Amino acid sequence: MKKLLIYLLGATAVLSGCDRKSDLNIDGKSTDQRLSEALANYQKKLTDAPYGWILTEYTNGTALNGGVTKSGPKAIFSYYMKFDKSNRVSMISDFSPAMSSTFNTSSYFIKATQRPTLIFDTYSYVHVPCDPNVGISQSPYGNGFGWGADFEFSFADNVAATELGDTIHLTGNLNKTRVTLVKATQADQQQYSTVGFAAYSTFGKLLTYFKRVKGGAEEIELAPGLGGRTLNIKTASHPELLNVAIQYTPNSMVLETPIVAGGQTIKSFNNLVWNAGAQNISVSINGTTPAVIDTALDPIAPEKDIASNFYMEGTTNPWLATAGFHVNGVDDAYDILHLTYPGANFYRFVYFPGGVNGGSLDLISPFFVGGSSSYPYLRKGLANTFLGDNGQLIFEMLDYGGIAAPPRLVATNIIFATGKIAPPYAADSPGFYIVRKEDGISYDMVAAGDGLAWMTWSHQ
Amino acid sequence: MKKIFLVLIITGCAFGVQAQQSATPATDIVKADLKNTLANLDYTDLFMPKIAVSDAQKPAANKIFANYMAARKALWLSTRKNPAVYDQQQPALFNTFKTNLSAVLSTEQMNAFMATKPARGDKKNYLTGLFY
Repeated sequence: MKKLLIYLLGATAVLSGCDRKSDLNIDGKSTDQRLSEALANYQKKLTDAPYGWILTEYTNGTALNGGVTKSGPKAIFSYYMKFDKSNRVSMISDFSPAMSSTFNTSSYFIKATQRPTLIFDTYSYVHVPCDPNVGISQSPYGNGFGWGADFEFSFADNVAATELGDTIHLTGNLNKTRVTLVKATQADQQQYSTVGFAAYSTFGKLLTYFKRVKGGAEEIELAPGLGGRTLNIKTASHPELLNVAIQYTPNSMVLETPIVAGGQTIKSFNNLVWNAGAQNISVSINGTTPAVIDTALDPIAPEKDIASNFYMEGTTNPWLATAGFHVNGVDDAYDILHLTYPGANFYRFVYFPGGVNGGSLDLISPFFVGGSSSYPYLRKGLANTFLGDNGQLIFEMLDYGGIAAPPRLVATNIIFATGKIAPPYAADSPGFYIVRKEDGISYDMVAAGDGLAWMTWSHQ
Repeated sequence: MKKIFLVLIITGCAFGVQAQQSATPATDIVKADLKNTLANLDYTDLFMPKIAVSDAQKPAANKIFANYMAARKALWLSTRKNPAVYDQQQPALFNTFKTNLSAVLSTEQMNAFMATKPARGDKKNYLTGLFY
């Protein structure tokens, strides 16, 4: 009994030490009031910028979904945004030609989570690279992941909203993307409002896989990186691939990190102008050296024996593609991703050299899951593969009957057979160049006839 | 109570199997399914389209084709960089295949099949991959 009394006294003494301070003791304002004011100040900072903001998001090469992290290519997404006081934000982005000049309005709000957070709460251009549907995000990470981009961002400058400057740093809440918000000038606003991300759409007019920068001491090859948000850069004298992410502005392409190519350090390609007659782009390198970006049909420095090595490697470990051909500037142009067969859905495109007929025939066919047949179009997807004189893989597509292929597969097989996207076709197909990507383990198969179609293969 | 435990155990097993399936590399999935597809392929229809093969003959004939194709592929893979070795060893494989097929098909059917043999090096004829 004595012990119990001692315990009770002790507990009383401890609990009486816990004195709840009033919320009203800082400047006479409650915590809720102070929080609301702080959030209002963040919003004011955004809405008070008369000419809007340029938001640039740098992904870090990983994407999270349901506790699973995937690694992949990095990307930069740029936006020009104008926030208003009624929680609406209008924006353009460099995600697609349409989004680069057509303003979209959605909503946003500032909320206190772990830190003050800018949340884009209705679907907007910011959500597109986050979309789990790979048909929308065009993400090379696969379905469910997007690009590892974010749509909720914490303010990361560790200062009060009233002390924020004209450059604000944010961090993506889920994927930890790095974001800068730079206050736009009147000139910026005028440019974005009139031409949008014109550099993005201008560069996109060159539809061939290989592009050449001509004008310096040595020609420079530009080719798309994985997923198309970076550039793979080579020269004949420096055939090792340099991969760099690109930030687009109304009239420039800014390299995330400067590169040394063709005897010069390149930080940006500025003042892009499309020459409709010559079908090329005039630029100035670093804003000073005039140059032209032109189309090219073949690689500037092909890797030795790459096509035969690619073929041989596939004989024991088939090559897989997550989507169909990129054609004329459009990813998965024939919508192979949505190819169906009764009860089954497209899973991968398979290139399995020697996979059929005791090794004598190669398989180039879509693979399905969920139905009774995994290779329903097997007989339409058999081929002989030959090696071309310039290191191409040339397919002789065979048709051994079976069920009729849907038009989108027929169109795909025509490209495989001809190495081009449209007639006139050569009597002998020029085939495909095989190009190793920046990760070292993925390869693009590029139509050698016109350079306008390519498909990305890897082991998965 | 026992039933609940049983359901929980079965559910747990099902999730385990599912997790295992999703962890399987896509390459292995497409390879395994191709093997399956080829094992169930009607080779008599593919390689002998103009020769009437009865339903009774088909299962045995298809098995012989499938075995030959598997053996031919194994030889092809092991001799990819040395075609001369392949050319040397393939005829023996083909003879075994022919002997086995003769035990299933009639003489007329076999003669008709052998008459479809293409010239060596005729890459446009898919039967080249069967006979050579």
